[in-house]
Amino acid sequence: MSAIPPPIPAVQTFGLTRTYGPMIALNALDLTIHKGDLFGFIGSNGAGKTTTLRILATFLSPSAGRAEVLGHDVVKQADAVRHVIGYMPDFFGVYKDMEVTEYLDFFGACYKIPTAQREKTVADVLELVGLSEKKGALIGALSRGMQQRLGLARVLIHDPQLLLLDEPASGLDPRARIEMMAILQELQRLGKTIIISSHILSELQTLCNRVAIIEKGKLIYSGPVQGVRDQMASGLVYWVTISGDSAKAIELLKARPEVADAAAVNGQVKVTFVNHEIDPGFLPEALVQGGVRFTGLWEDELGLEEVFLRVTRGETQ
Amino acid sequence: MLGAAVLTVVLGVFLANQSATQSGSNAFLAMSVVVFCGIWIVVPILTADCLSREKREGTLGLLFLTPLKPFEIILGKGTIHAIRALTLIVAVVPVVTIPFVLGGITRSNVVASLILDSAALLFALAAGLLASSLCRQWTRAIILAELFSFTFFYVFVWLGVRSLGWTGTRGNAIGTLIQILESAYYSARYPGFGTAPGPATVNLVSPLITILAGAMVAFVLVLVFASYRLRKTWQENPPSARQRWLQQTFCTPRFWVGLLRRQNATRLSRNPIGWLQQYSWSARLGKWGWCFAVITIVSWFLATDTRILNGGLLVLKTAMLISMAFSAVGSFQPELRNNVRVKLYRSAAFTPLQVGMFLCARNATGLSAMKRRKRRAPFQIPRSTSEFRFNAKSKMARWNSCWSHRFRKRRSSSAALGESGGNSFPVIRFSC
Repeated sequence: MSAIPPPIPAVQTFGLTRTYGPMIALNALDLTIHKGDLFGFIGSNGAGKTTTLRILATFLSPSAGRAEVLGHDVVKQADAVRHVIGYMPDFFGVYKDMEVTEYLDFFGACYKIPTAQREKTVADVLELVGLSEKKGALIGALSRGMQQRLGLARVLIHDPQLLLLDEPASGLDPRARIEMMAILQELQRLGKTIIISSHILSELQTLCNRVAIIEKGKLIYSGPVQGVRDQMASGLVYWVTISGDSAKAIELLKARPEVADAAAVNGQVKVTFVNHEIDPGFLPEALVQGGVRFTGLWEDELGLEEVFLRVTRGETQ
Repeated sequence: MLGAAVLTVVLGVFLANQSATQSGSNAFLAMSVVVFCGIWIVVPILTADCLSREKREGTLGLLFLTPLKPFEIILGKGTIHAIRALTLIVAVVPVVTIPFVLGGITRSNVVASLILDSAALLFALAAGLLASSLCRQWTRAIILAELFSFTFFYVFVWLGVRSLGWTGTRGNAIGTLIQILESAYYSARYPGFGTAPGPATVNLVSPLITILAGAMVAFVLVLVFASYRLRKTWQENPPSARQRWLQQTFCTPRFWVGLLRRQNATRLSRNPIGWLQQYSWSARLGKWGWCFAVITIVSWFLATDTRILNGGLLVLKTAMLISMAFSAVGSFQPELRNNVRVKLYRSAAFTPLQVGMFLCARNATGLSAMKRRKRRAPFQIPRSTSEFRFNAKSKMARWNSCWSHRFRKRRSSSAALGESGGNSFPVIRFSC
């Protein structure tokens, strides 16, 4: 059996700090993001997400600490960093009087992509973001969602290894958001490392393999999505749909030492275990043996939104 | 083409009743001076917004993410604007054929003209690029570009004077410049390139080369400085501690704070758009800066020589009018930049404000910088709905009734919308 190779860090920050006058936007942030991750960056408004992404994109200099992107220091080797990243800010300007292909062609030229290769690259990225049909359209005439896609296409034009996307789905309608997320999953499949900050936590939950939660410039959690759920869940919760009277079922379950609490909620029985390491296999067995008929049994999965609310206190700076 | 046609007609009128040779020289002089002055005035304006626009629209950062260097960006902008500026010279080429046909122009005149225009072009481009690298606002960039252009013009003159080593027969720098231009362009009076009027015959090759070399050096220095400046400022950092101190010290009231706050609240109630227009500290600083400048200049006129008072005041009034024009032109820039046209429309539709009031209120703000109005303007928004009470005795009442009539119309339509549930926006109701 071959051992799994250790993950290679794509981004590392060491005590990264950024102050604006007396305000500390980032407070000694230590973060590691591995290659191939689709990493969600979660935090309230003013938590420091954008500041972190701007520092990683060399848009901003840190006040203290340092950060490395694919082995390059963001301050000392800023040019090298810019070659390997694609950064989409939360607000970015576009040349509204250009056509879509002209815009991408222009940035392709800025990235010194050879003329012969540029045309194909532009067509490819337009295809990837689903803008092929709009290639002749004026940018000013595009909708917000289309402009976001165009921004993503610009980010991809030089085939960067790391994508830094600051609120890429903000202002998009549900369909456009779903399509944007599908594009990001496709990019991850292509081997890109993606860091995405978003407020739409339900989407990050299914999209990202790892997340970081930040509040008031401090890192609260960084790791797999399931990890934070496990940390936050005080006990495993199951829901049981009882056919008939639920009082007997509650009585039965409360008598079990593994069950901390059982209560009827909205016509169902909510069963809370004493901890989340207990095997729930005993539950159907106990109910059947007690003569209780049940029609449904499922685990209450703690959503990322719930986790976020529990770990943060809503403090902004 | 139109400009060339107009220039041709003007030349036709101007050159009537003159000999062919003299006409050729005069025409060449006139055209050269027009182009020369045009370069100094127009090129900085054309160039002034090239970088500031990128800063405003948030595209500069995207350029910096690419492998492009700041110097390359500045050089690219400078080159393209130089080519654009050359259209000024190209535009007069068809008209230039007329003086050549008439005769009286030597090759030396053409060479001298090209050298002087090139130097002027480099200085003017440098002025525009420098201003653009320093500013973010369009109007400020243009004003600063013209100021730099004026300064570089003096450098231009100084270079010519220094290289000639004399101050000219007219005794001042401008007189010397006119003589340099005349000797370069006007072969009828000073036949033969290479000589200039003055105490002694002086070779014009030296000043022309000096001026051109100076212009090149200035252009390169400005490119380097502008790229340095751009590298330092493109990241859009928040105000530094020094900037905050300056703002706190010079732009924040220290005395009569309560009085000023009440006055501010009153102004907001009377004219919210005007209040918005003067909200920024730079707008307030501009207003009080003008006030200070006017008092200082008028005091200086009165203290030195009252004979120049009238002329000086005329210049001052002209400057203020130009400033007002710029201010008016730039007043909607923030809204346009942030795509607030839609918001303006919404504001007009869902608040008592109407589009006409936006325009009037902005004008009132500009005027108030010159003259404080004691009475309320007819377009001002009432402080509260209770002020809609009709008062037939005052002139204001007519206006108020007019506005209240409009509001009543709006109220009824708003109420209808609200009742029908067809409006998701909060409906403003009036209780007058």
